[in-house]
Amino acid sequence: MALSSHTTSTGFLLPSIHSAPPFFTKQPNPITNSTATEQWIRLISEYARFKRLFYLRIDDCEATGNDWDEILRNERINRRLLPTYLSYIIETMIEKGLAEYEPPKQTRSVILYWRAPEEWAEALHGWVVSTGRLNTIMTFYEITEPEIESPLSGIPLPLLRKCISILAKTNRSQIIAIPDGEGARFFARSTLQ
Amino acid sequence: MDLPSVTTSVDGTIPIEALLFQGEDLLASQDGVGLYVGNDKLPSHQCGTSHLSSHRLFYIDSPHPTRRSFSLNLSLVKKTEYYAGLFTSSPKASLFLSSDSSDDLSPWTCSLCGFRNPPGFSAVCGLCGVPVPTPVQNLVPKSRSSNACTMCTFINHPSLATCEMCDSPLKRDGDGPSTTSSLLIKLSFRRGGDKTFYADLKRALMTKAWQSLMTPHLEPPQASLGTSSGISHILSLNQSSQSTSNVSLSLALQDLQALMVKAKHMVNLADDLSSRLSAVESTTNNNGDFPEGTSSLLSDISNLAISKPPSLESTPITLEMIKNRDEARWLKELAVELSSVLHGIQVKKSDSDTSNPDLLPLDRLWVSWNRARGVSLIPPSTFLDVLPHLESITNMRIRIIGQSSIKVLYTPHFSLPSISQRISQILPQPLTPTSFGTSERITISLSQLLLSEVEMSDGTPICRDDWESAIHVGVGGGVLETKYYPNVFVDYVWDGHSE
Repeated sequence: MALSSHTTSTGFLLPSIHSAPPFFTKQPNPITNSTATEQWIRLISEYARFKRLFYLRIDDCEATGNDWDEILRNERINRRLLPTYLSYIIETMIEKGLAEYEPPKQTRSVILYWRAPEEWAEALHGWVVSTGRLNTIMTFYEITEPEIESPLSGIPLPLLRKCISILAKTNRSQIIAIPDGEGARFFARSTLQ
Repeated sequence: MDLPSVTTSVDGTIPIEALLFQGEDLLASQDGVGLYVGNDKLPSHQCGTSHLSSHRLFYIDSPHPTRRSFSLNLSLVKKTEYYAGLFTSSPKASLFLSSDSSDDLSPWTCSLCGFRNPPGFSAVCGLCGVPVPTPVQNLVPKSRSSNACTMCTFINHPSLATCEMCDSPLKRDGDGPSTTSSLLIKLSFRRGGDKTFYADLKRALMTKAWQSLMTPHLEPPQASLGTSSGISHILSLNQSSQSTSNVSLSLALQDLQALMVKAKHMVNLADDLSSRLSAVESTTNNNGDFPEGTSSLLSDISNLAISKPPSLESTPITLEMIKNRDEARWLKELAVELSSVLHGIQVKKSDSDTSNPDLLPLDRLWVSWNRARGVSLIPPSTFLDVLPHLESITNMRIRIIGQSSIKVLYTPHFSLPSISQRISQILPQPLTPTSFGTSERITISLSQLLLSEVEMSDGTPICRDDWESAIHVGVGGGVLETKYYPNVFVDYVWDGHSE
């Protein structure tokens, strides 16, 4: 059976396996299933990185008209991912540290780590250093919506908090309560403490 | 304000059905019922369920079912009124009770047999026919009127109007003018259901089920002219029941005889039908006129039930025929016999039979074998004992298919490796249980089992595509069934977008 990859209207190159109908069914054979799930996780991560998507919800495969349509459905072969399989995939992603339930204590929505939080933390620190904002107090809004677009533009607050707390472990950041919410201050690596 | 004394308290934790007497029917039930006595609310009885039977009205209190539940004989109800409710006032049914205690019929226990008789006018015990012991009936009303003071519980003389100890007024039953108001009970329906309940109540009051004699089915017609009590009554009852059972027995025997006459006819008919069916099937199989399901059903019927059984060359072997009743030897002999039955099935296969003799479900083989034996049938346990011996004398093997619990007998042609190999040859054309079943000449359910067995094996050549994953179900027609594709995941290398 010849399968071919396909480029979507947004320019994302779908893998050839996405046009194989069995890809959309949860395989009962454990070995087959683990391979298939691995490919799904890769596809979700690549697509999220490509479109800068941070959230994935079970609802995304139940209704059309959202950011994930292109990969969770394949109209050309009349197949879609079922919610039961998607929640299994999400569980596997969480086991692998590629996602986390957000908000916690529910299982229908996750925040995706297509970059590890540690990488995000380094990127945040790099950006602070390169824009000369060390030792300045910044609001979260200033970090997520800077005037000049940065690699961190639009990152969700739970992820930002996680980054700051990772940096805090090496004494490179500090969360500060400010009148209209929360803010943070960053220090150079060599800061004494 | 208290409940009128004509009510009898019941234990409300007992399900209502268990409170009913024999011959008493439950007519209606309604929850959310509160009670009024006279025109005043009875504060202790404001949340309960009311049940109506053909003889009695029950109130089962929800918060205190044991203490506050009671029943009321419908025979005491003289008159009823219905009030439909207005604004916040709930609909109500008023029951005017008669104070005449002679109408008050209470359940009584037969002094001879201990049977609890329902309240009614029946003069004899419903079970043994002994008349009501008169003193019991006279005692009942007396025992009910207790003159205990409600304040200090001192038991006063019945004639006193106030308590001897504390001077508080004593409650008086029935006859006093002060109690006339308490002879009106109102049911307030807080959660509706009032109309149907009231209608049922009216009907029950019209029917007067308590006036009819109980247990009419035990009453033989001729018993009315003789004495209807005592041992003679029991004897006559016994006699009549004996004669009815005699009649029904002889009728049943007649039916059986008629059936036996018909049986021979039926067997002939079945044989005829079987031969016709196979004839029809062999002609239609080529044309494909019949839907697949129909033809496989027909063949199953003809094969299992009414086809000519495979015949046995010798007489069936029984344990008694073996020297010293050696069970191990017997099993071996049976295995030989079974192999000849198998051989018969395999030779017979050819034309009309759609099932594959190389793959036999055990139930089917067991049926065929026992049909061939005809007498001294083999129980399943012995059958299972024989099977291992069969493996040593034929090339048939037994296995449980996949994760099902279905045991089959199969030739090497249906071993797991050779099935996998045949599937690989059909691929990359997608398979369905139907298509695979047709090509292997096995039933669809067996085919489904085999496919999932192959699917679950290590290094499987197939993977599944469930129709549930379709966006538009039923597009393009066809049966909704799982399709099996070549295992696309083996050796797959990512060829999509990568950063």
